[in-house]
Amino acid sequence: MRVLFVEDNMALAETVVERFRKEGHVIDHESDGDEADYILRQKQFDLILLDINLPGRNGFELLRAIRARNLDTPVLVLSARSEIDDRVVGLDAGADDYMTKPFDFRELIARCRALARRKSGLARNLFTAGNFTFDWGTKLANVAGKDIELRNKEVQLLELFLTSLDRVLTKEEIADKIYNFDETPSFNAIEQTITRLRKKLDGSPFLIKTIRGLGYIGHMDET
Amino acid sequence: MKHASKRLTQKSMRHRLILSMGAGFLAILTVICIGLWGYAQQAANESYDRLLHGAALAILERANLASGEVRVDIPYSAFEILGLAKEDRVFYRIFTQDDETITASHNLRPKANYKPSESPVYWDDAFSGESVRFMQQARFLTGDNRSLWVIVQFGQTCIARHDMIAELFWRGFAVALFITVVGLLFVWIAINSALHPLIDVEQNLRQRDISDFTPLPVTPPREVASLVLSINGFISRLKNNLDHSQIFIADVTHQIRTALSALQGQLELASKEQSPELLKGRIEKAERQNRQTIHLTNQLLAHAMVIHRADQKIVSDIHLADLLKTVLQTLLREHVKSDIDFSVNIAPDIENGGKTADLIAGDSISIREAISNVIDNAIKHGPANNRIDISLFEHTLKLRGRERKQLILQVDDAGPGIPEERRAKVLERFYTTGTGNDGSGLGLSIVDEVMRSHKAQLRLGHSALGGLSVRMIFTRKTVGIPT
Repeated sequence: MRVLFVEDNMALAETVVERFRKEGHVIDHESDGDEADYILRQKQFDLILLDINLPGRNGFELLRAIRARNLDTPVLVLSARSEIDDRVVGLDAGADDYMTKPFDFRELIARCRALARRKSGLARNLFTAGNFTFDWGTKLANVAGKDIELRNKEVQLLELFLTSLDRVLTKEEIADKIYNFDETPSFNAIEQTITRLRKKLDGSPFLIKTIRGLGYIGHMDET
Repeated sequence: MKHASKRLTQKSMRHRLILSMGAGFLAILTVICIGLWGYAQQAANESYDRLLHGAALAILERANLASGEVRVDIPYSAFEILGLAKEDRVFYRIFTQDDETITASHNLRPKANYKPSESPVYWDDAFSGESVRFMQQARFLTGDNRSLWVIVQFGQTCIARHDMIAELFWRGFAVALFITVVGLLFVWIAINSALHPLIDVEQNLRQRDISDFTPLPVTPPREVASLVLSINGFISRLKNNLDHSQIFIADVTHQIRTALSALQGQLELASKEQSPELLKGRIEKAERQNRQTIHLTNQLLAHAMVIHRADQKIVSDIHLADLLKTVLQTLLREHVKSDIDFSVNIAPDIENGGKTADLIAGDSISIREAISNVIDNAIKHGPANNRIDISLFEHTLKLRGRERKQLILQVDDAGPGIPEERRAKVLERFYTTGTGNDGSGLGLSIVDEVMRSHKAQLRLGHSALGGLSVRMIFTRKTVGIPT
């Protein structure tokens, strides 16, 4: 994966760059917002890691400029400012994810992978995470080289979770998305489908966490 | 600042008092002037009318009717009397009731609709380009075969009268003006002496050293004394607050330095470690210590943030159920892999209760911080297979016959809980339950700060699940619904 890292703190930049290189990624580092903008006009990246406090133009301005050019490269915002205010602004400005400094490196790399995959997976029609793959075209799931047989509803459910990883899906949302008007969705049926899906994908990094009373969270555990 | 001080001078008490007193005096002076003018005119007319009257009487006395002929001798004394007004000219005409002139200096027009009478009549008119005071008086003469009215008409220019009016008016005015000026001077002195205690207070405060918290001397008058007492109360509260901040800063310094020293120690040990096995262990320890330091720093910043925001009084309408869901959305994402059994229960009357069912007034960022801290606390102190129940429900409180709706956010866990005697203690800063866990000692104190700044209640209790039960009790905001 080809990453652009925009960060003005050299000590932090050095460690992140080294870590990404060790993982086998290509990473370019820029410490100035204007220069980062220039380089983004010249080269293609799979992911942008963006700090907010930057010399030149700040992270949000850069982000807006990128999005204004219809560049849909995933952006992960790194912020050390009073977190929550910035999160909202960052996501509104077109960021795909955020992390607050100081962050865990494993977590950072996992998030980056998830973001880059989301895009390349859509392009190649194949979702890959660890030993798990899912082909969007043929609807085939595979864990550790073994094809998993999935029923119709299970496939729909899996697709729903894969498109909204790390987000709470309420039972109502699930019922809305995978049942049509003719079928009467019962929350019990959803629960059962999830239990079956969980069992069939056991051993893969894909997890579904139940939050009783609220819904479910799908997650790819790659750390 | 400049703007503010300009506004302050405009609102100076001294200026306002002197302006209003000045306006009052001016009004009185105007009234006095109008009165004075009228009085001077009346006095001048009365004095000089008497001259005309006297002259007329002297002439009429000498008028007689001899063998049907009216005869008038104008006595010298009549003109002497009139001569008292030295610069004025006098015109006269003596005539009968049939307007038959007996003798005259000028052809004067008699008063219109005049009915001959023995009492004098006065009027003002213009004559030969001057304003002239006229008078007319008659005498009834009776002869042997005939009787008739003889009428004397005088006109006198008004130079003496005007002089007298001016003199009377300006003298009176000078006295009134003098009284006004002296009055205003007294007012100025009175204002200054009344404001003097305030100026003392101002100087005391202005010259005061920033670290001087001694109370101001309380001096009479009563009005100023009560102000000074209020200022003293404020000073003592400020001192209290500052003392607390100083203790807090000392505590923070201690905590951060300790954490950093521990980290430094681990790193030094690691750098001198020869065996790769042990080195790994050292580095792991250093990493753990670093995580604790990060957590401590984050909590310190969060604590500072909620206090700052409470001071700023940032308040907006918050939908508590929505806020809770957003917090859970972010928070639970970090714990997907854990075995903790989470359950969320939002009461149906809140979930389906319309727009105001979960409305409170407050600062969403602080409340978010409080909720995350309560849930984080439950996660951190509980076992790996903890059970955490989060519920939001409404409660109606009857208080002196009035109903108050409360929204209660309750977090129950199956962790070790907190024994009753230590529940008050854990709300204090840097107090940890202590058994080797890596808590910052700030979590519940942050929650407590947020609750206090929102006038909400924080209750710690024993949970039915076996651990701690934390209740955050907010007052529901009622919009347009009379309670």
